[in-house]
Amino acid sequence: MTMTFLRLTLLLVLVHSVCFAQKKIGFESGQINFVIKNAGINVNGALRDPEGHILIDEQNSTITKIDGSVDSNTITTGINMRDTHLKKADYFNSQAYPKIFITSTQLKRSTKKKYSGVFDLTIKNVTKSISFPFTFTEAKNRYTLQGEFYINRLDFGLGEESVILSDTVKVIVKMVGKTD
Amino acid sequence: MKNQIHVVLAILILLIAAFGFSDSSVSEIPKVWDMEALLSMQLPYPDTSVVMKPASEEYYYALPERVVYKTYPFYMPGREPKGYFEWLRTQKPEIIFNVAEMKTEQDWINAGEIMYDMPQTNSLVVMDSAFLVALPELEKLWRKFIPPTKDGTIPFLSIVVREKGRIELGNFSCGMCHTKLMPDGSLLKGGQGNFIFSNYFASMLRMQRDFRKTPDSIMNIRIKSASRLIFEAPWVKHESQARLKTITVEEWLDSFETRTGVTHRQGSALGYPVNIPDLFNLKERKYFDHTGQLQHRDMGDLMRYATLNQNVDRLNNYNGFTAFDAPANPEKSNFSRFSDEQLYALAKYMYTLKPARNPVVYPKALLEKGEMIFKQQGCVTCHTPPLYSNNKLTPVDGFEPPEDHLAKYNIFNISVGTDPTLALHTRRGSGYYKVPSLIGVWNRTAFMHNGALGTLEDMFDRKRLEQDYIPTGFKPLWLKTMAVAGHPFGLELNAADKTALVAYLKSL
Repeated sequence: MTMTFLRLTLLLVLVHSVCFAQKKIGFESGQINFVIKNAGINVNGALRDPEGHILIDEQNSTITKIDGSVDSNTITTGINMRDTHLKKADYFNSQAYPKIFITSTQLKRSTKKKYSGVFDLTIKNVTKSISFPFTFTEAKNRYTLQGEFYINRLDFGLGEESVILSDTVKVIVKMVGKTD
Repeated sequence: MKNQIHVVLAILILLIAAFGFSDSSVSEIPKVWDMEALLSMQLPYPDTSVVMKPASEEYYYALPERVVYKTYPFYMPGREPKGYFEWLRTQKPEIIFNVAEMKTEQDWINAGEIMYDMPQTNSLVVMDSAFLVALPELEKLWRKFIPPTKDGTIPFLSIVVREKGRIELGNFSCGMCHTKLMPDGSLLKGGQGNFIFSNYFASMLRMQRDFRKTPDSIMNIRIKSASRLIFEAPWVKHESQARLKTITVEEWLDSFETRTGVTHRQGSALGYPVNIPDLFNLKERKYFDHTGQLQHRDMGDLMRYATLNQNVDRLNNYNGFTAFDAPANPEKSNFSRFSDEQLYALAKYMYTLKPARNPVVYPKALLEKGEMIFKQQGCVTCHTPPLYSNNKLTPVDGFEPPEDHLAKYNIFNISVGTDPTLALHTRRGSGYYKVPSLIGVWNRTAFMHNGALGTLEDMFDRKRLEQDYIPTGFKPLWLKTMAVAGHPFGLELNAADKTALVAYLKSL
């Protein structure tokens, strides 16, 4: 009886290893840039030092999960005083909610390098579902994920309605990682 | 039925004939001394233990109403026509504000302009023989700071005849500070005035001391009384309050003087005056004063602001402190107030004030470049068109807006680092400064809320941030140099970009 149980356990472990062998890629560098129109002209900004990882099904080299975060305290827009303001409660409220999170909920691979994904984006404790296409490439054991998406800043309580500042923010993501 | 219609029409015609096509009626005049409105229009003090209580409704409405008499020009001493004062003494008093005569909107606006220029009844100076003898001495002081006019009149002052044979110097009108004598001799009402009220006030005290030989002991009492009226705020812990306790008469008079476009006013601090704001596009503005201490929610609030700042704020009680001793019996006092109708007319007039256009025309390409820089530098976020102000309050260094303020008021929650004294350490304190409108900025001679800079170009001079900077505008008498801190925008621009930006701003 005991032997039978041990064999069964070993079999299950083997099956799991075969079916769910995954590779974890940790981000080692990256950039999150954004663009928003203010009074008709583009204002460019960035968030530094994003973190996170990607899980890849080793059997078919397909991404199964993406998780990432970035500290809103790192925001820069080229004007120091504006950056300070963006960290205050009426925008990111960086003291109370320092981290911006993104996590995949659905991923679909369309070609070898192209995906479309659905993600939960959490800013200031508000989670919204967003979807966008992205590419995922590998060269010399370095993996690069790139994509763009748009959000409505008001959905996340980032500022208020404005006659000059656009509601829509374009976000450009580029992450580079390697296997852990 | 036909006869009934004729009767109704006839009554209507009679009514119209009797009362005219009035589009402003007395019935729509807001009640000024509405305690709920008075209390709710005010932002709390940074020190929330301090509560300001205005005079009671009963007391306020028991004060005598101001009677609006016809005024006559006041001339720079020596420039008046021969026999002018004698002629004035033969004039009968003439009341020129009469609600029964107001038929149209324009009637109210015209009456409001009279109110705007009307001197304060509480501070008329009897032009007796002793005063007339002193006039040449005053002229010596006045010629240093009162801009000259071709005909010799001083448009900021006037003469009032309240009884035949008695003439009085009228001052402290709204227009005394908020009217600009333009280079072409015209008057721009609502502009940043170029009559230096502070120097005028000091000159009247100097006259008492030097010409009328008022003893030092009496002068000391007068200076202490003026300090209490204008500056004292016993709950404030700041060097400006401490200085009031030890300052001499001479130091006080010297320190009180300012420069064009800058004034010490009641509720400010000695050495920390204010630049005189213009009053254009007033209807669109949400807050009064540099500190935004009082909200402007409707015309009633403007009327309340006007009466408060035309002396009635003397009646305010701040945790037991009052700026002067209010008459025990308001009905029998010389202290008067505007009527609600007078304030209504004044508010209607003030809503009509419009800026003048800059006569200088800049090249189109320069303006386009300047506008682009204005946007790129982020100026547009606070100085948002069409008002060129986002109508918000910015907290000052040393004040963190409480959470309920963010929901209750229009807060742009970032300090731009300018001197916080007025907002933190005075009776006008709120913890905030209002984002000023840039419309008509070409026509101003004092910049920053304390008037520390004399030109728009100086705003973009990074040398002003250094401690060894000599301000081009006002600085306290006891400082030789002073950093003009804060609002660090545009300081890093190159010379060509600064020129374009300044040109654009001066075109607004």
